[in-house]
Amino acid sequence: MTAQPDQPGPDTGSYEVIHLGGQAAVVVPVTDFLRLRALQEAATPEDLEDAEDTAAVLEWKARDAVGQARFVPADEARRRLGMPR
Amino acid sequence: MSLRVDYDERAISQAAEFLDDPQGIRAVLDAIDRLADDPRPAGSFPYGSPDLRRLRIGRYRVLYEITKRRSRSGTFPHRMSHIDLTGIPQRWLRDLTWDYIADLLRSPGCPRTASPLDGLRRAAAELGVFLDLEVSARRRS
Repeated sequence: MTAQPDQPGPDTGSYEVIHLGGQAAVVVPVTDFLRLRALQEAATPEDLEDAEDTAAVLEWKARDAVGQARFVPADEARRRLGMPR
Repeated sequence: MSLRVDYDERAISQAAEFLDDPQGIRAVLDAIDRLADDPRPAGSFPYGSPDLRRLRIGRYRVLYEITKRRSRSGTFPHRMSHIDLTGIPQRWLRDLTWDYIADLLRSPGCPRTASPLDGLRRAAAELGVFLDLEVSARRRS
């Protein structure tokens, strides 16, 4: 495990970002974690969908901003998925 | 003018996790293909900015961005919740509710979240139960 706060990624505010097994993780104090989990449990399915999508957009934009988002043409995407037109 | 559609490589990886539903994924890919000629189809809606949009295809959601020359499919698919109308006791009321929801989803005023649809579903279920009780009470009296 290494601490690499300078690694590009979405804005995580004052939380420290660590990297573990190729995955980035945010170190959240237990009280904050419990509060976030309580919010998640109280949220509607629609709120959770919106939160998932917002997180996905932030993550995507962060990768795009530092040139780490790689895009491939639609035909290539279909080929990789084994679903040609 | 047709736009070029590019996929974020991460979105391809996400799609690969759902290959146990080839029909669903093919429908998603076909819908994304159609964005080339119609980047703002009915049923898609802006998500934070006019050119960042969300589109639902069956159980999946697609997030995409329209740039000057291309439509980039950023992330997909997530499984989405479905609308369960089986709580509405009357067949005619279920059909009526379904037709209304389908028209709403195809309209330019398509709701941004499933909450309004869930409200409709709940209202129709309550009406159905009320009608059932009312009919039973009248039969008894």
